[in-house]
Amino acid sequence: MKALKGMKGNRLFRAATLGCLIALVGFFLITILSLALYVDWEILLSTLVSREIFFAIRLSLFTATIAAGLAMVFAIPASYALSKTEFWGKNVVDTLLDIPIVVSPVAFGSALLIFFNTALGTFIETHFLRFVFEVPGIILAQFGVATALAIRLMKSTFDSIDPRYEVVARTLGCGVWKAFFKVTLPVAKNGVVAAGILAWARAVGEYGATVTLAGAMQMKTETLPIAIYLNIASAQVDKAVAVTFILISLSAVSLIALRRMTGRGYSL
Amino acid sequence: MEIRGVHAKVGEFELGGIDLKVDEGKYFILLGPTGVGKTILLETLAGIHRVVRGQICIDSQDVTHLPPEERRISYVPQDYALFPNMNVRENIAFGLKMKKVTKSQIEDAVGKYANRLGIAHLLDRPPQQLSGGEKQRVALARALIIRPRLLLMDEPLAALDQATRRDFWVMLKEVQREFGVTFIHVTHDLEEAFILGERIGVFINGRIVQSGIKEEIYKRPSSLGVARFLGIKNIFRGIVQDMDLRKGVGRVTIKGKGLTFSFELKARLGAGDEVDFLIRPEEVMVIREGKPIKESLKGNIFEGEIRKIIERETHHTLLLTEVGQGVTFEVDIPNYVMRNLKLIENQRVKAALRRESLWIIPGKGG
Repeated sequence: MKALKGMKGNRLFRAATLGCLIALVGFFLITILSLALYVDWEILLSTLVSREIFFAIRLSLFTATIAAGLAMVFAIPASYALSKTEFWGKNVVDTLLDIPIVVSPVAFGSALLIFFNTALGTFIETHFLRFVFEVPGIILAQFGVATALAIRLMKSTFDSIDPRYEVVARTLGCGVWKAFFKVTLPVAKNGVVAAGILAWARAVGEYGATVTLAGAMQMKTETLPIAIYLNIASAQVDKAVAVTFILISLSAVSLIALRRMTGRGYSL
Repeated sequence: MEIRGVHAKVGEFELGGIDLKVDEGKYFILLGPTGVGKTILLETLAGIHRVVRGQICIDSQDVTHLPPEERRISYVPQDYALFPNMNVRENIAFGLKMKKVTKSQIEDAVGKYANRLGIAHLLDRPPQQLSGGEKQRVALARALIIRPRLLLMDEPLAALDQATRRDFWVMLKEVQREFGVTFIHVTHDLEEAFILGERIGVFINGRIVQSGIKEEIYKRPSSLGVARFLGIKNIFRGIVQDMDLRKGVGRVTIKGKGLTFSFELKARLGAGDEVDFLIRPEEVMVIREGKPIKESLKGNIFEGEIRKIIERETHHTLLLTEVGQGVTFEVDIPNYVMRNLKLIENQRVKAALRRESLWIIPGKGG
């Protein structure tokens, strides 16, 4: 234990923590670099303009945008309620909303699939909208996963907002709605933007729940992650690598946007 | 403003049976230790917490069940809660904007209040760049601009340094008189309470235990709890000896010490009653040799030895132990008197308690 005390101990501590950090950065850099080195730029370009990949990009952007939009529509009020309202069973509700985050997406997708085999699920499918092996299924799967993430982020944002802003706004003549839209929501802007971007990025990258509920059908339910899977499965590695590259680029753009729009790195 | 028997429950905290009357245009101080529910009382008045029982009236209008936005009660919380997404101008204008007042009227009003509160040069700044004192002024302007019937302030000066607080004591009182708004100002600071409050309510454990003009609270606390909170020294347990109803004078002996003092009768007492009584340190006189003794001091004179002299900003505090029974009194003497008396430690002096300043705490005591 003597070696862990004094100046020597300090140096050892710094070396140990920084060492782990460098190892991790190295791990991710090597992974991304190897991908960049592997990419054949000609194939990448031709892949980008191919009908299949163009379809996957379009489908991914479309479904993820709708899923993230819907996620925010529900997550903002729900997380507000979770943060500011006291009610019986709040802890249970809080835990329940975390399920899509901790449970494997495949399991979550399977649960959705099974739901659509129940009487209620079948009724919805026949009378309202078809989800199983259809585009709405992709949106629903992405929505489930993205909402959980958005709620988590938004709740911590609302938790950090001084409740007295609303109290003061109300004494100055605002009703509850006006106080929320004029004060709380604008104060929460950075958190809302961050949650929206991360929910969108999560929806774009969603694979497990999507493939289970909506299937992996070329040119039908083929989002970018599913395109990677289909191309690897059919041994078209070059194409798969190109799609991976596109997907990683999209994530990188989201991360940059996140930092730009919130003015800082957003901590989860 | 009047509240009658107000009960409110917020989470685990219960506000029990609050009665309070504050006259229009007065400066009322709600004084109490921290963490006893003063903020909850203010928020209940503002309409944030539901009243379970009781009534809140302003200008003889029952507002008990009105939402906050319809009460015309402004609130300045302890952390000021300036909206961080708006600059100072927008913060001050907020209440008028919600009332859909015209732009030019808002501009005029913001200018007027900002000038009065000395923050006109800060209008374009975000609140994050303001000092504590500046934030307080902005919060005050924002609260006053809607011309409230009542202004609630929660520990408004707690976060400020001593010099800034002194400036605010003067400013708050001036502003209150100028705008004629009824103020309820919550504080735990005795000095602040006595400087600002025309009337003071002492708030302990979710209840207002005493309310009255400051002299009354200061010299005649209604219970031992109030006396202790006010930090009053020289509290003794005593037994009432006898009473002369014709002269309006009674005598009380310190329990177990045989030291007897006379006091002015103000409450119904019986001989043999056990009571608590007190005298404030500044009401104990050190008698100058050869000086004639006033009637009200006679019967309350004792000889004591100065055990310690503590020098303070405006006065000296003596610890004076009575020679016969060993009872120790705290005595506050203004600095200029101290200079004339030339007192030193271990000196023996004659001291007296003013009869009219000796206060018997009503009730059974204990």
